[in-house]
Amino acid sequence: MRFRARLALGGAAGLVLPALLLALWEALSRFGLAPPNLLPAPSAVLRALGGLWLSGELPGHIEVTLLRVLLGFLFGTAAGTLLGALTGYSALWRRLLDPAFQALRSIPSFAWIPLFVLWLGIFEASKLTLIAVGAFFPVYLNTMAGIQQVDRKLVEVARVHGYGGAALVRCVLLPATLPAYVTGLRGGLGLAWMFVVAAEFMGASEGLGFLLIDGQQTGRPANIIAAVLLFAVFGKASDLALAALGRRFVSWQDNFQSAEERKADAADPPRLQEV
Amino acid sequence: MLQIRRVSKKFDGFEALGEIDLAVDRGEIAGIVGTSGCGKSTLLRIVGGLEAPSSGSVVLDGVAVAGPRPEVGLVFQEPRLMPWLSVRENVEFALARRPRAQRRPLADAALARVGLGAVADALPQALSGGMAQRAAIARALVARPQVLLLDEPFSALDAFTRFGLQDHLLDIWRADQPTMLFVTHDVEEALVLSDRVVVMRAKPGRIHAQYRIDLPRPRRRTEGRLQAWKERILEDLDLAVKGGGADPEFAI
Repeated sequence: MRFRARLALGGAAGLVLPALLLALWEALSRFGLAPPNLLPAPSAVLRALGGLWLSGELPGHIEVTLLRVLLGFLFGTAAGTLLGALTGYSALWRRLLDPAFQALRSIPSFAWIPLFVLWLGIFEASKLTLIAVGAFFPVYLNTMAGIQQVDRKLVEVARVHGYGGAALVRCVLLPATLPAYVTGLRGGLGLAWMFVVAAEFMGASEGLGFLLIDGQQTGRPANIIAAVLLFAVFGKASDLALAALGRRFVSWQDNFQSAEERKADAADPPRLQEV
Repeated sequence: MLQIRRVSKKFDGFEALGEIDLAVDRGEIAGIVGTSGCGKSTLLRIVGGLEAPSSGSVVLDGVAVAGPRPEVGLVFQEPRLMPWLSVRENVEFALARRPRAQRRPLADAALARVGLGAVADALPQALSGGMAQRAAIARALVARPQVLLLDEPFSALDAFTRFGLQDHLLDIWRADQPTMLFVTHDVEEALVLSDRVVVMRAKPGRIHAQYRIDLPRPRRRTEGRLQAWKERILEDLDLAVKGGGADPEFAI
């Protein structure tokens, strides 16, 4: 019984604080303690969401933003995978390329915006480039680190059994790198969501980021909060989808880690580079 | 026959192995003992084709060894199982050269021989240390190598598991009769298993003495002659008891 109660609480515990805050927020608005022109009640936000949906405006914004995130993420991931694999596999390429990428990484990515707009114009190309840059680094870093961290002893076992070249990559390097790669993908997707907001701030006429700016300029805080909520929902949903996809390939790693953690009893989990 | 001919190895000017000459007959079990740094593991890696000798050669049935080859199986100190493959798939890993249809039955047979038939579908992390090492032995044996090289295969295990696996290894040897060359720092283990014990010493790594152990198997660890040999070998290694405890590495 106690175990079951703890299990149920474990799932629901995370919802307690948001529910309390939501109730407090609604109560403050109802009793007139929060100015509705600055902090509309949750019910007002819901109404705004419904109105935007019914007017047909919202689906368009959602579609545009999702497409931007998806394309930017795909471009960034493709580049990050290729270059990360190259620098992870070959010490020569790592010495040639990695210092430059590390230097580029330390530039705050939003600092690129003026240059991208100047080079690529105010429309989709500059937005997608910015999102791709955001997604690139976590994927690149984790791919490279993942390949470098493959246990050399396992590679040796493969060599003993006659694996080399493509077979070595397929049977050992790839599966051993996958957990780090999935971590990189999730980090990259998270940054893609972050950067799509920045991209849509720099002059967009559609998208959830535009809805934020538009809400500010036209004094509709309910729209702003609605857009923020949608970012949270889609960001979390896409991450969960990616994590579920990853788990299918790296379930051994989840088990492996939990088994190791049981052994080490609260020792630090293996750290991968996250941005 | 496995012949090690005037093999030496230098690492960046450091002489790990002097000139080693050793011939192991087909089906013979040779155990190499020596203190840390005497080059015994390096020698085994050269025989396995994982390292190239600085000079000399390793010849197996008249053919020089120039790299890992299917006739030579290797068991390392750690099991080194692929954590993403099931126990069975780990054994099948050694059968990449065989047609796909043959792999599973061969792997299952090898697992049954080491007593792991019931956990074929488990992932390696579910296994105890002794079971994992048995899976590694199954992987080394599944392709029926002519020579089995073992690099301190039981040193990471507790004494009871170690005794059990030593017996197990002898059962396998009786059935297949592979040539076995193994490295250990447990003198008693070498004496219980081997037809011949090769004693190595360091600076540079060289063969100091060899003993033919002509006792019938299975051997009792407490056997008087075995204990006498053990005393001799510990003397060879400067580890005989001289009014004090032996080197802690040789916890026997």
